[in-house]
Amino acid sequence: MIQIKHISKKYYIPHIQRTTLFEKIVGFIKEKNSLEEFYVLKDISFEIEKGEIFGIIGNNGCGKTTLLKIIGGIISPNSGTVHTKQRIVSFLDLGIGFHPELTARENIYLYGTIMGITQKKLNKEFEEILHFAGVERFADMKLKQFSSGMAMRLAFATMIRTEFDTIILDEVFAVGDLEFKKKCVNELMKFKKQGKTIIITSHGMDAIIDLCDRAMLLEDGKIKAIGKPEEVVQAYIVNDTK
Amino acid sequence: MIDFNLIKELVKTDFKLKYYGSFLGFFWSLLKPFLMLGILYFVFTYFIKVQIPKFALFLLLGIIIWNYFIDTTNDSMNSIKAKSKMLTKTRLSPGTLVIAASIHNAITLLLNLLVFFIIFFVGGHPLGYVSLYFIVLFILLICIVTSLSLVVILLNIRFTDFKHIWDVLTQILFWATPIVYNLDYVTTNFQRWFLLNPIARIIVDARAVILYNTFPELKQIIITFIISIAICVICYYIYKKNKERVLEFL
Repeated sequence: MIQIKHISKKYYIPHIQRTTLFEKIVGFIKEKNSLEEFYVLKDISFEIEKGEIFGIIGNNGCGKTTLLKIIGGIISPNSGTVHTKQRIVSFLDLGIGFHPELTARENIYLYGTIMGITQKKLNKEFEEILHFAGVERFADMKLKQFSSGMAMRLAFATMIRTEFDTIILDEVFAVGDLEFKKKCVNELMKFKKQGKTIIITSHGMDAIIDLCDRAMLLEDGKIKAIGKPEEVVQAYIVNDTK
Repeated sequence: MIDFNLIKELVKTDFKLKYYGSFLGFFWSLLKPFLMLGILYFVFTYFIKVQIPKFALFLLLGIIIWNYFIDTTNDSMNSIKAKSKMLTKTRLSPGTLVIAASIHNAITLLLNLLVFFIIFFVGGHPLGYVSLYFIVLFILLICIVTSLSLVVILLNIRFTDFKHIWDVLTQILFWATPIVYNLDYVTTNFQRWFLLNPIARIIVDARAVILYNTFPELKQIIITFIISIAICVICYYIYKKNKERVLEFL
């Protein structure tokens, strides 16, 4: 179980963006930099049960990815806590660790290691990863020659080899062809059977209704609705048409 | 919490990426200090007549140590920029990338030292027991450069023009470090300031023990240790304190 308690996260929006040191010095002499606090997440509390598929929906910029990053331990919140004993792996962007100048083989090893897969496991399951991604013939081709879809499949295939209790997937269904989507769904169902928790975000409402046991609607960093996927999606649609 | 497996993989990747598609490959790393040596040796023996015993070896040792410092800081900055997406989307910490860059360059440093010692022995120079102290200096050097790099990358992420500033700063530091000259050329008032620079101290001591078979004074050794440890602790503290905030700028 993952308990999320009173999570808040704020960012500062500078009214005059200064990124170079020179601008900073000049700006310091001329006027004080005014910063506006901006809460991406405001006092969020909810629980995710073990073994469920939990969907998060909401408009762009509502705080979905920030929330996922906090749950995955990539960034820490300004206040609040995430309680869990589970090993969480997050998959926030497809092919993030991939380097275009390296071959598929080298990329699998690099990315796999970053995600915490041991060398031994990678050696053993290397062929399976290539097979799942459907790129067996291109193992020693540089990644820059891959199509973006192929690279993405490779990333997904590598990622699911990590050992985890909970997996976080951000917009995975937005890309990939039909066949690969089906493969992904099958894989997710397999995870579910093994009692693993899955957290997904999607703008595809069908996917949320079909897959999720529970869903949550975020709006401006607050929980608008949480519960049965059908109802939450309904709330989102109603909210949107207003 | 250092993942050695990950560091090994990153070091391997660094090596591969650095020499991909280059004709001479790894030999560039060995060639670079010698090209620098050639230029500096020519200028400082024919135009500006520097009177230093064993000047070629003197220069080479300084250049090798200096290059480790420059390459580690630059590689760290490049590595962070190249892997920025990984840093914001996985639990990979920027410190791990710095350690990988440092190890990768330490290996290059070791190979450069190997070449240095081959030349040293071929030239028929004797090596005294005091040169064992160089092992200590080597470890200090790696600690200092790695910790400095931790702060350098934070500044580089935070300020987009830091790289240009760093270029100029290292140019100044290069001439403010006794690499092409020794401390005898520096007036006594200045020497104190020069010796606040830990890399200068390491270069001076390394030359003393390897080339001239003299051991630094105990007082100087203690000062070297204090400065080195202070830099490591301060840099690490700055890194720990600001890491997360700075990553938001990536």
